[in-house]
Amino acid sequence: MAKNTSNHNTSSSSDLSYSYQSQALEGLKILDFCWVAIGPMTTRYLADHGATVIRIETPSRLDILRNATPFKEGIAGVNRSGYFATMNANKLAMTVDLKRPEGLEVIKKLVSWADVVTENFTPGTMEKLNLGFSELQKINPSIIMFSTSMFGRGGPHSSQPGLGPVLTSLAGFTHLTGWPDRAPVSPYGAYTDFFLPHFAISGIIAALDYREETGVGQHLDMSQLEGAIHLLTPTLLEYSINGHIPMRSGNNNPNASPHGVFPCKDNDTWCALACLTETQWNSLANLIGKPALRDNPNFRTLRGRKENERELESYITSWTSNYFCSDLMNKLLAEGIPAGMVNACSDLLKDPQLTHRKHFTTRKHPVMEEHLVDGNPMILSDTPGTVSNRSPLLGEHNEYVLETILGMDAKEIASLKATGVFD
Amino acid sequence: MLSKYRVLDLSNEQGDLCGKILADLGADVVKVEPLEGAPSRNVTPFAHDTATREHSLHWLAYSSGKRSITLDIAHPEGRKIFLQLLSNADFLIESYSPGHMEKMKLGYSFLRSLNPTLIMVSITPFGQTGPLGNVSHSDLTGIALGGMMWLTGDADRPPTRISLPQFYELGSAAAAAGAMLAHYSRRKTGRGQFVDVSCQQAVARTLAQAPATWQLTHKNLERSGPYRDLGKFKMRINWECADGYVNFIVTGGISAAREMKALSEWMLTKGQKSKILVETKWEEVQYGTFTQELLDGLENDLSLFFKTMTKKELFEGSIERKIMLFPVNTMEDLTTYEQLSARQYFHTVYHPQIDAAVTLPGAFLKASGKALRSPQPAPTLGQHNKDIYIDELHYTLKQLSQLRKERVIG
Repeated sequence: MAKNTSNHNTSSSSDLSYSYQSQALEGLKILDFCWVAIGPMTTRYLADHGATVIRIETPSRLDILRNATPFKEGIAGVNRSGYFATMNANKLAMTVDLKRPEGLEVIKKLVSWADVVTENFTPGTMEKLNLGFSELQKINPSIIMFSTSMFGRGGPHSSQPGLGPVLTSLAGFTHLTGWPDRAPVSPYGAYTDFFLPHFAISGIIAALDYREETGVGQHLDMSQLEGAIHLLTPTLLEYSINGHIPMRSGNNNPNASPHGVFPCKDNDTWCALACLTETQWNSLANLIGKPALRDNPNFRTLRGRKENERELESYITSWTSNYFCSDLMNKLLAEGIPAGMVNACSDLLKDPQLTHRKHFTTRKHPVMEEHLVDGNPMILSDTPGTVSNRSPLLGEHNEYVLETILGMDAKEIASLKATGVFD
Repeated sequence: MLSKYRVLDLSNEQGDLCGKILADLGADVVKVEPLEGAPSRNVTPFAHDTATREHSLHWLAYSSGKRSITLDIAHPEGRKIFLQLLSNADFLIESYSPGHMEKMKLGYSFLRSLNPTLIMVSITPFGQTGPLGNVSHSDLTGIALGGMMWLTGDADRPPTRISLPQFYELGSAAAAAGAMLAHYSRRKTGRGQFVDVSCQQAVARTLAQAPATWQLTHKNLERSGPYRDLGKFKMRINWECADGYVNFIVTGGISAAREMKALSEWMLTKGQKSKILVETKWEEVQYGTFTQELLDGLENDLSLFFKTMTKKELFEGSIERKIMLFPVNTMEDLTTYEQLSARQYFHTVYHPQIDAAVTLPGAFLKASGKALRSPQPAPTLGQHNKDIYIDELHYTLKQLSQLRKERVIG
């Protein structure tokens, strides 16, 4: 098996320091058709926690992340994308032409092998490939299928294709991001793609638990739009109960002041600062120490500070600009004032707290030399999860899967290969 | 699906979504609240602007489907009851500062000795230990430290955030996944685990290719307003239209070729011809091989076209042509969106505590076998005291009133 301790091909210097034990999902078998971000992130969690994940890729229609920036040395190539690598480490990569009967035969054998089939194509795609849930059930009656798409199955827009970045707009996040006097801006990246995997995993494991109890598998179909709305339910209620249409408000908080992002000494460096209580405000006023701020009657109450926020912020800015960002943050934190430097990625990779949590590590890779792997926000005490294997090359595990998982002999494999079904 | 499992939820507003996800999956989630109510009940804004402990919109949103009991777990008698409940519980969720549970003599090593199968989920801003283990925090500072803020906002203004709390919610969603992973392990081993969740890491996980871009190319991707910084080039993603904004992203390869052809034909019907749309071989263009010149030219032509139409016209036309263009929706747009109504996503549930019918989001996924629990009102303070204390723990009415008198329960 790919994840035996004897088969670690990781860089030992960056390995997690946990003693390796059996992981939570050891023995679980995933046949993975996912691509781009939301699906692969979901199945990487499963792989990190010990599941065997076989990622099926179609050579004629590659995962767009294989051709997505950043590339090693800026040179494009299917085994050179750092984006692909972090999403797919720890999985077995197999190429199969799904439109050919020989390909479909191999896939059907893997369906019998699998506990869970995962996919995030536009609804109808798996069905067209004769791999819809009812087909899978015929092969493996207790199979669990996890599908996720923009809209889920059903409804007038179900078959509309889309990608995470536009979903942030559709679900309402974009309208709520940016400055009230300006056009909205998108939250960075494909925001919903990166929190929905946590909902997905919860659902998949609940279905596995249900299957252990009842023997019954099922089809889980997650509409990304419907899942995403759960991260803004209170805001939705502001409209549905109070009739108020919430608007983006920069870094403002109606119940706190000061509450914003202030410039530090170096160009384009910033520190977020929030006084949520009067005690925090008094600590800040004393720390800055200027009588014009501390003794200003306009700033004595939250209401006063809100009404004179621009003036207040200009005092704070003239103070924060004297400090380097991390010094300023530490100064504020020492006084019990919520503060956080605005970490750029260059800061993030050396952030002391993330480093302590071993969030970013690297794995050796034959083409990229080294690729980044981001860690998991939840650490389980006995089975912490680990990235034992680097990102796979395109088709790297074709033979391994055929031979070790499907038990085919050399002759069978050779004749299959000759059909070109893996190219 | 999880109906046979009991979750005790001690969390404050920073951990509420975790239990909500488990409740949606069918678990019996019991909020164990101090006599004055969980802190999450005080989160603003309030329904009808009425500041009572039953009106917090955060509470109504993220305690929906849970039960509530009141219990002073610091009181010796309350502690006894709490431990009794814990000895039969499957999960405990808490979001106190690191060390607080130990101070209350409710640390995991003790709880595990009491109930070896218990899974304890602790949601904290930065994790249980480390240099930031116990510092003051807020949504704003957490989003900054997690790296998302740097990448969000207009280039000529300070970095910004989504204008509603996301920091703790991101951590809480990860916590639910952690709880379930530990649960799967417990099925095999019979042992519970401690799940240590960092909200900062959950934020850092949202950064797509930005961290890898620094690692491979030593370039910081930058906040770029309506554009998307993809390292070598910037691509417009938010576009102004006649009555608001829409999102449209240029991809590459076969799907882009089809899309661009459809877009070009659509523009022609409106008398607009884009040379760049027609002449580019889109099937040969990939994410990694765009040029800025190509993107600028395209932006020029598309901007003119999009400004002539409304959000609705553009969206409907795009759906028809399978073009990946979507409106920038407001909350109002969302509640009237036909796709969601066709799927009967929203549920209107009468909430007696605020005397109003409330529109709640439906299940986060559809299951063909066992459906997720349909939305329920959040519990009123101590609403389930009788169910738990009398029906389950078999206290008599008399004992219960004694416990009330001693301020052990509310």
